[in-house]
Amino acid sequence: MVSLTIDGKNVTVPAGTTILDAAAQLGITIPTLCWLQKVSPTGACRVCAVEVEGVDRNMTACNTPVKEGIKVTTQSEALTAARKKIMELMLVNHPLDCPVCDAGGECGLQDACYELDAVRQDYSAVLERRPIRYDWSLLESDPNRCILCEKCVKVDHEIVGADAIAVVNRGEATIIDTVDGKPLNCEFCGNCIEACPTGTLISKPFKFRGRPWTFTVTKSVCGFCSTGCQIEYHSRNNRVERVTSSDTTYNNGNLCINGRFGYAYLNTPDRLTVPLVKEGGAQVSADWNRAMTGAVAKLKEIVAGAGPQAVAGIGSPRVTNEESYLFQKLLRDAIGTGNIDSEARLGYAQAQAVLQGIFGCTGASATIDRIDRAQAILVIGCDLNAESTGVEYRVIKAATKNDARLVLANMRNVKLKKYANAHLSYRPGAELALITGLMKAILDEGLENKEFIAAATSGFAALQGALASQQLASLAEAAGVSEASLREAARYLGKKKDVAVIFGADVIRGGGVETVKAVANLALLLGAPMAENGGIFPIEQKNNIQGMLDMGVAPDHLPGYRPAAAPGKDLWQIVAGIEQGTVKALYLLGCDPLATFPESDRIRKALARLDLLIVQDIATSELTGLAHVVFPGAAAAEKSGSFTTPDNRVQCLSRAVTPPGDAREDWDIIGELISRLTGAPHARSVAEVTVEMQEASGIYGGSCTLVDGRCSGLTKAMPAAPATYAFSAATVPAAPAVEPFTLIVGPIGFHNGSMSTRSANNLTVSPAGFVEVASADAARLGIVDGGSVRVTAANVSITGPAKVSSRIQAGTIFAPVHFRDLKASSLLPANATSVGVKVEKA
Amino acid sequence: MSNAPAEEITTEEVDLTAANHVIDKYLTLHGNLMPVLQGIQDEYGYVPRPAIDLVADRLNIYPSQIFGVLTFYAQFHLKPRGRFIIRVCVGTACHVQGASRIVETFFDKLHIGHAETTPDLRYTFEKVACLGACGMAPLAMVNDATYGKMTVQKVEEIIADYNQRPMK
Repeated sequence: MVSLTIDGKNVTVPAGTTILDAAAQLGITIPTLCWLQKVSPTGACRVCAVEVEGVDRNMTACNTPVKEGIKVTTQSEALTAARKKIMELMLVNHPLDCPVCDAGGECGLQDACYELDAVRQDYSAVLERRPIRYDWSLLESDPNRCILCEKCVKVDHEIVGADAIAVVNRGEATIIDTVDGKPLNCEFCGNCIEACPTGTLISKPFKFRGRPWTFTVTKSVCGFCSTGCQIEYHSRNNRVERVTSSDTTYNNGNLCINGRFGYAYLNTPDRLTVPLVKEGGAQVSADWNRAMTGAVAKLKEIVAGAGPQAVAGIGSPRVTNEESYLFQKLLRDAIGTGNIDSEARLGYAQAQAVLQGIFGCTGASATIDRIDRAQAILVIGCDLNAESTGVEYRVIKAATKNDARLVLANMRNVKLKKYANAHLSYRPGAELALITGLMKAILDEGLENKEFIAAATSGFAALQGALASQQLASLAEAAGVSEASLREAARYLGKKKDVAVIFGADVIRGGGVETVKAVANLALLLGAPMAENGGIFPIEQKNNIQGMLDMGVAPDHLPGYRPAAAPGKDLWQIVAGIEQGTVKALYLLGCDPLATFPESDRIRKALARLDLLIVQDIATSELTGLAHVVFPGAAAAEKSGSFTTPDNRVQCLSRAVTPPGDAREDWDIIGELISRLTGAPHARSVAEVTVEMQEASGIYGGSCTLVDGRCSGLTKAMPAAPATYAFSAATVPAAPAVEPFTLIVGPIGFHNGSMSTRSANNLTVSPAGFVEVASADAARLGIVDGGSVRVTAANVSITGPAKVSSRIQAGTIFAPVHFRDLKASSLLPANATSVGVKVEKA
Repeated sequence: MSNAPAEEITTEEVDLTAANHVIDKYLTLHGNLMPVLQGIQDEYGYVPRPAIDLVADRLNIYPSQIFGVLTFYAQFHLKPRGRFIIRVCVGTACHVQGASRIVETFFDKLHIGHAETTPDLRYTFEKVACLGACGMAPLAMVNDATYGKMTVQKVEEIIADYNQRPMK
């Protein structure tokens, strides 16, 4: 600890603390401009100059570490003059185009000049105009406005890890630019726009949409991935024109392309604005009364004729907890069927059941901020950049700022590889073999957390026994990795106090229950659940999968995970039921199985057999074309309610704009249907539904309170940790079948679900699907970059443009899941993320 | 350095063996970026683009950070340099002694301008501010050799001399 005096007050801080941070502890604010709390200090602007007794020149408070006994002065006439002069000099080269600058009114430079009383301009210089970069997608850079604070570059390098921009040249020639002035190679998260204090880096879609202060700002929660980032919608004339986040949020103001630019889907011309009903084979617009009356009458007719079991519903991870609650109430109570499920059946629901059995938790064992301070992190079967970018930022932070050991196990060379101490590039389908191999290596080297295992687990001896009969060499071979690399990874992960185990779709959807159990065993070996930091974190691509399951949108449990008396049909049983004719009516709430579900061709055929297909969605699609009744619903920006992340944070969203045309909030639509079916009164507000859903679930507490303009206060009870964690019996992994080619289908960072493919912004950087082929395979098959490729599995084939790449192993190909035109997931069997295929030039 | 988009980025074909040797030498040194880049420039006479990517990959630094360092320091060159670096002083003393005519003559004879390199990579020409030998103005240097009291005739002699010298 170091003691010093600031403005006559004594303070003691840890060695290495900067003068700025020490002053903050005393409540003393030193003016700053280039300083940004979330990145390393730059010391570029000199505005934070302070006097240190005995030192001739002023020191920059932001990057000068404290020393024992120093006496610091933060306010004096000389300092005020120096700071003012700095601002005046900064303005010499700054164009005063504030009237047409996007940052006008929210400009850090304006604020600093105002604050430091820089009101005169005594200097002038011949300005060299630098060309404006209009050629970048989504971002525009006007280097003339740049004050070289370097915040953008720091955010790009330290938080996002995108390597898009750099500080180029020196002295007066310095600009922020790409390497060699090349086109922007970027993730388009726009975090640099947020960091830019001036109008240098601006959002192209927002440019000239209005002055910043004329927008209504609504604090809400992002509706894309399950990180649950806190965002702000800026809207005017009932249109969301941009999305921002503040550095004081849980996500530290960091968003991804979907969070920041994905809002454009709200304004897609494909939005449904009126209910549609099918009449004589053609769909016609209808008013709500007619559409509802028709739907209710037909539902009653089917229930009367074939019983309530002839009705089924598929919910959505996109809708709020309240809506999910009402949806299961509609099916269970108003109609009387337990046939309710969702896309969680593709893996997350089963994985959750496993985790619940072992850890007692309904999702992650801890909140995701615990990842920041973990000492070792395993990311397995998950491209965090695409599945949960906000979690990826935390892993990058842990690995770079806190020196956590990172082991990445992924079939592909994903972005996190750059930060990984070890990358296990395993064979497709070999997740179980890989995890078993890691466990074997950990036990071989004696790296398991013995203290935790002895104190808090059961069944370890059985696992040890089962693994003793396995050979590390053969496990490594089955997984397609070397024995040495497994041992190396084990050493990075083993014997650490705080371990985070993060796993995603390739384990949850592709690996299945046995693989999730193995991941859980591995986490127990490493002592992950006991750790103060770290834990076990399942990752899901869509925002409210957790809340949806909490609300009982599943055939086997009611809200709050109380078991259903008579479990209904699950997703695939519903599909089979339609095929057999036992399910005659289907209600799809915000769910388009034709877009991204496996076996979508089979589902398409089944849907055609239905007597009644009700689709409630926000945009027209092939699916809405098949529906007998279409209810136009509302997107996340257009409604109130709450979302729950897999790490059990319950967050309220606030309505920024109203749904387009006659479209209504989904809770309101479902609520009225319940009322029409049962005669019970319809809830007047979403708050009423929130209270009802809290009571019914029993695991949601608290009440909505506005804190700093953000609705918070809802909580979800985290279950108490079990007395002992039980190891699962080890499954002997079979080596995956050798296929000439394996197609991996998964998300990419530029999109989320199929929703973002309706966002014009996302489409400018990622307009269409592609088939990624390893360069060696491409050469062998005569496939060139951009040329057409046909991929065939069983009797389904897709054709798309080739992207020849070095990011994937030979023998594997990758296709993004998002695009309706490519229909990559139609090749997949029910619960898988990869499949053996034939690949040819088309 | 213009920040306009480059029209076409041609990928250079460079043998990176020497660059790899340099990186091997400094791999475990803390703060190794500068010596690595200096070593690579010693080997190639400039820092080739593929070497930036190689250094980025092996030292686990972003290429953009390396590019920032390379463009910050005047000592680094991103384009191939001539075997012989001709520097002509245009500082005050040399200027009044007629340095501009010396410069013009070099331009005419070599068909290159300031900070340019001949296509055969024999010469790179640079105007410099002061070489610190004002008593010998106007002054020129070729690599480490100094030529004082320069005249137009001496320019021709120098070029004739260096045209004969081996490239290695």
